[in-house]
Amino acid sequence: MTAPLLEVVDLTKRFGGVSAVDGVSFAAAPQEITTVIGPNGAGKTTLFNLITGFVPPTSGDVIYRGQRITGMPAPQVAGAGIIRTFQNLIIFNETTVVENVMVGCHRWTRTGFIQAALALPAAVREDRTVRETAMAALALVGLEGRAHDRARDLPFGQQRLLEVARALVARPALLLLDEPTAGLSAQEAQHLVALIRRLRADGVTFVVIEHNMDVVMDAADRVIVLEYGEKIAEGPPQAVQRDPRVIAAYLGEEVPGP
Amino acid sequence: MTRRGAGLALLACGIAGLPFLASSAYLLTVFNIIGLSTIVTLGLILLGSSGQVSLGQAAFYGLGAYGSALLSRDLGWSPWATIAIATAATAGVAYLVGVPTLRLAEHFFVLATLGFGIIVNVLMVQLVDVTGGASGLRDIPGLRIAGVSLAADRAFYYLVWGLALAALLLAQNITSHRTGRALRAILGSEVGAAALGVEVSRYKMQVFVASAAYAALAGGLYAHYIRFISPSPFSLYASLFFLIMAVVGGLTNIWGGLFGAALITILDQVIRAQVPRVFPRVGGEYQTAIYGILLVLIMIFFPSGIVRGALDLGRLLRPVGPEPAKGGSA
Repeated sequence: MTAPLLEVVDLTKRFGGVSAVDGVSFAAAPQEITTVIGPNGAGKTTLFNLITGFVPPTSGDVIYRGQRITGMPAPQVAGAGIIRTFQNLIIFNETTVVENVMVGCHRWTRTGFIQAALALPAAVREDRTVRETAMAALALVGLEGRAHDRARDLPFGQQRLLEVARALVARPALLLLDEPTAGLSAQEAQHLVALIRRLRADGVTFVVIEHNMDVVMDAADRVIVLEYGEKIAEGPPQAVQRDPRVIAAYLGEEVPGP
Repeated sequence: MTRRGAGLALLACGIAGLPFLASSAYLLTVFNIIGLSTIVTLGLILLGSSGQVSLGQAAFYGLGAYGSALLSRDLGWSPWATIAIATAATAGVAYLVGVPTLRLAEHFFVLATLGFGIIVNVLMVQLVDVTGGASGLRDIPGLRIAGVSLAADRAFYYLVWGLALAALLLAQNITSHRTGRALRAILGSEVGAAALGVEVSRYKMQVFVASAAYAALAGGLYAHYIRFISPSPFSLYASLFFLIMAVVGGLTNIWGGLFGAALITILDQVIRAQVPRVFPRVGGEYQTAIYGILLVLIMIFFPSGIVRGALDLGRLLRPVGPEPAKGGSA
């Protein structure tokens, strides 16, 4: 087996007396699609916050490409190639759709304050590349027609796709998607799954928080199930689906098995 | 890009021609003050593009003025060099102020800059041995190029407006490239920006230091133009004045900087001249009240500034045509 791209080792986050994430470990191999499922409040988003440096863990480690990145500030984590999206969407409202996506190119572009101020040829050239990259990503998610609209004028589902496009242009090695199909139509969701598969073929590794079980069954190589911050199951989607603990977590103990 | 270039060229022509239409010494002085205020306001607007507001710009303006005045007057250095040195030194001061304060939440940062502004102003008054105290510094050397004095209003006009246009161009460039996108992303959401690799605190620092440098440059020019400085033009009131200019112009709109500086400076002149005629017995405080009301009205009716507000109003009032369908936001 190839070395994992991401390893989460015994990761724990306590807020006061509550363990939001409690001793969770898993590894994501390159080009693998891992989905994280679990009831609301299971700690899925907190897990993402811990991996991406937005919240420091109480204990445990995050290892990326064999390097310990636990507690590294969020911009540096992103700079290293771990890009995430947000469950509640974070769109830069006041700017245009295409500019939102262009910000995604920040991590691999180099123009600094002075080069920008003087509009040096390198800055202008880089800008053109960034704009073309952003337009191509918008076309990929079907938003090219809205490129010059104000981002906040898009309906929710399209804002979701905008966030995905913005994450794509960052050229991530590891892409963490937090409920990417929430608010999408069935058709849009299918399109997104196809896109995820295509990107995986290009070398991107995914960890996806997802509630839509059709998407999970369809796209995931491996499923991790969280409940009350603990990992209660892990495995291929079909196996996890039959796991009695998982069924109990979702449906309650008293429901008889199928 | 080309439209922007054309706009700038048109503006440059207009500015170059203005002294031939309005050549009274009084008007030229007003134009020069507008030019200086434009530079300070542009700095504030750069800062505003990242969502930050400063109530300490008059202190940076004052540090540029006092720094350059003292170095040139007491050490006999060329004012050109001392303006540059004072600007760089003030940028350094802004960096030191920024280290502890930029990590604060927005409104606490504003309060910190306000406190800084008050401290600097108090020092200007109290450090009598250095600053001359409330009676100020006299006999500040004027600017000269190749032995020719730039003290005349018209000569200074071209200097200050040349620099104001350069400042405008630089600010425009900053906001239209990677740096500007990062700043606007920070304005939109610091979390969202950080998630894409934008080093939020570094960008905030850079733009804060740049805004201080803009203010200090204008301050240095001011000192060698008026050739006398005292603490009062660098008080909290002046910081507020600059902020109102930036807000009127639209805190994130570079062109608004020019417009806000011009509008408020002219309004100030009109108020000073006209209000005593209408209300002969009011004191100087009425100005504060008028600007306070103005600020509130703008925040209510034109939150993105007068320029953007007028454009939006124009769009609203345009005869109804086939409007492009707008997606409802959820």
